[in-house]
Amino acid sequence: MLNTKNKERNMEALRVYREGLKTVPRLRHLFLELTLRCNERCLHCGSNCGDVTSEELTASQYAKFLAEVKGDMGTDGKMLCITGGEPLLRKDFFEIMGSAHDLGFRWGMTSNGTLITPEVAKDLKRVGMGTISISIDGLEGTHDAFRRTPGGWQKGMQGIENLLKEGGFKAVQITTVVTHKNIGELEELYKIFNDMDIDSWRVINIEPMGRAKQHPDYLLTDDEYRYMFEFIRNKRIAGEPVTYGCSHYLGMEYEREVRDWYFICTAGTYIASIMANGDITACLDIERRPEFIQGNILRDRFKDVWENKFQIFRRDLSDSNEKCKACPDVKYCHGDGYHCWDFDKNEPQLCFKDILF
Amino acid sequence: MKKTDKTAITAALFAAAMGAAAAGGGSADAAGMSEAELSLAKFSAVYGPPPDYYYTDIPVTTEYDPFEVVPQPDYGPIYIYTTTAAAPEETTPVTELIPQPAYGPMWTVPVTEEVQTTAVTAVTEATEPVTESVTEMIPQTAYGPPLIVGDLTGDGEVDTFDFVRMRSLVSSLIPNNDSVKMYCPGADMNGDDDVNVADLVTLGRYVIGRPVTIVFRGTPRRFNEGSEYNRIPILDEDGNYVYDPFDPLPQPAYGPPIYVDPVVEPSTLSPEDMRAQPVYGPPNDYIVDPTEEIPTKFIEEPTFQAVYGPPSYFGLEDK
Repeated sequence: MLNTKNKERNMEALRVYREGLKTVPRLRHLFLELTLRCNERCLHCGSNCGDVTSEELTASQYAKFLAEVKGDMGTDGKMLCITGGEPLLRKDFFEIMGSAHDLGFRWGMTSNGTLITPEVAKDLKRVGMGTISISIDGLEGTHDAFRRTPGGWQKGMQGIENLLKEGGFKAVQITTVVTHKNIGELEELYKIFNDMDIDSWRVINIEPMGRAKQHPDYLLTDDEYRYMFEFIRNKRIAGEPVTYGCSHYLGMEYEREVRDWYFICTAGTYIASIMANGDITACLDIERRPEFIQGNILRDRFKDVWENKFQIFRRDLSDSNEKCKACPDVKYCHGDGYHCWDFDKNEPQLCFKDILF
Repeated sequence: MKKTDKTAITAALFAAAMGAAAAGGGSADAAGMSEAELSLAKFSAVYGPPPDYYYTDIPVTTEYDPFEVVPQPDYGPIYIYTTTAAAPEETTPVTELIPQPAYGPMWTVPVTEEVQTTAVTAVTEATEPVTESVTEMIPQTAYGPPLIVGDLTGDGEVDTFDFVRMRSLVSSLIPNNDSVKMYCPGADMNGDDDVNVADLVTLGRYVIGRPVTIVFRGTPRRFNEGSEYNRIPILDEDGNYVYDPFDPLPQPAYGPPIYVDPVVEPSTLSPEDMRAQPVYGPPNDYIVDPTEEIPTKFIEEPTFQAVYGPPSYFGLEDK
């Protein structure tokens, strides 16, 4: 619908820019996985949270690490993204984030919202939280069943209300993972969220990774993908702050139309992550394989790792797949996102070719 | 949810893309428009904006006087005239192409022996003779184009114009309320009694030739406490109209519904009850012989100019 010539021009510029990023990466988002503990057990969890042992760094180790990053790389243009598990399960959460705030880091987080009481909302504001994304994965029954947490929907919605009531945050976002079970609820969810004072609603599809691989009945059909993207686009046509996520190349028709930017996987070029045990990797959504661990903050200096390693992420995945190499969209898709790649079969786990374009 | 500068810019981008299409002219690529947008631009340049699909200011009553002139809607008359043409003595079946209105869909009326006494076949009646040609006939509604599932523009075709219209409907750029569902049943592609993105996707796939399933559950749609029904021919994947000939009346896509006492056997309808309504423009006088004198009734009545498009001079080609 939007001007395709403009899209091609912008995507070509982005392609050139991405080539530059491979050789001169710029850290913009530093993900901190504070814990793998979680008070919910979502069927689609990419980190298998709750089912794995969580070795966690201490608050002082985080403080030392962040001070080192600030000293080596500065805080300008960088944002900490706090995730887990459920980060608020850490008793020393506010100590850790207080240190980050005192050092001058901007930060945001993801949460299921169940632990956000009015006092917690107040403390989040006190320690400088800028943005937050709360997961709501359907209407009440669907959400509770999907996350295997009775009462989770009510608590999550209440957490959002507490944040909105506290106010003063840059953005409060709701994220919904669309599955085969909840795709029929999007309109109802829209009506509910439209009445709330949130800043945006991120609608993303379930990915065949983590625990979701054990539940293929939750994956979307081709028609359901199309429905979801048309839903997002039509809301955006009407000026609503609904957006798709960062994943996947969507083809010329949907690129720029379901999100405010074009596809680019920035794992290892813009994004680095620190796992709960201190291991350094690119994106926490990527399958956890030994070859992706680039170091550990307890023994390595992060700046050195960022500048001298990460080569495994600073390449095109399409180079290792003949079908991708032959695809006319490869120059924009470059093999799609890292977290969507099957590294055993060397092919994308989910490709929207023949679905969307 | 909060509307911000960013959402406003995004909406403006989309609006500009659609507005460029409405401005008309040029190639799709040159204007950066999709084919659907270019089609809409060309359509709008000829016919004006597509009609809206609902009225809320037309009184709906259960009683209907066939000789009464119904209040005029925003466009197109709702003149109901009974024919006064004399019944031809010949009994030879005639299939006559009724004079085509200046614009709007053409209709063909199969005239069989049993309806020979009137100039107009009761296309609104479900009689045995009608069933013989149901696949050839576009059922004529009181006014407005025939109802076809997927046909939102009322042109008798299911094409990209309808898709663009559906998109506007679903994206809430035009009101989508019960009135729309009631008077635009063709927008409900999957029979779930709602018009939403699922219908948009189905229509889009149909338009580009992909296989789809169009569902019409066949439940008559009630418009009030009375027993009025609409009959909606369904366009199946082969492009044929699937039509239940034993349903009573076809319902106009817009304007007030036709009300007929369901206990009256359709075959017993008198010629006065048979009314043919043009799509828009002045009323049609269904005179089989175009040279026959125009009843003075029509000459005295004011000629109504349709809201857009040229006036129709049905049967008045010499004027």
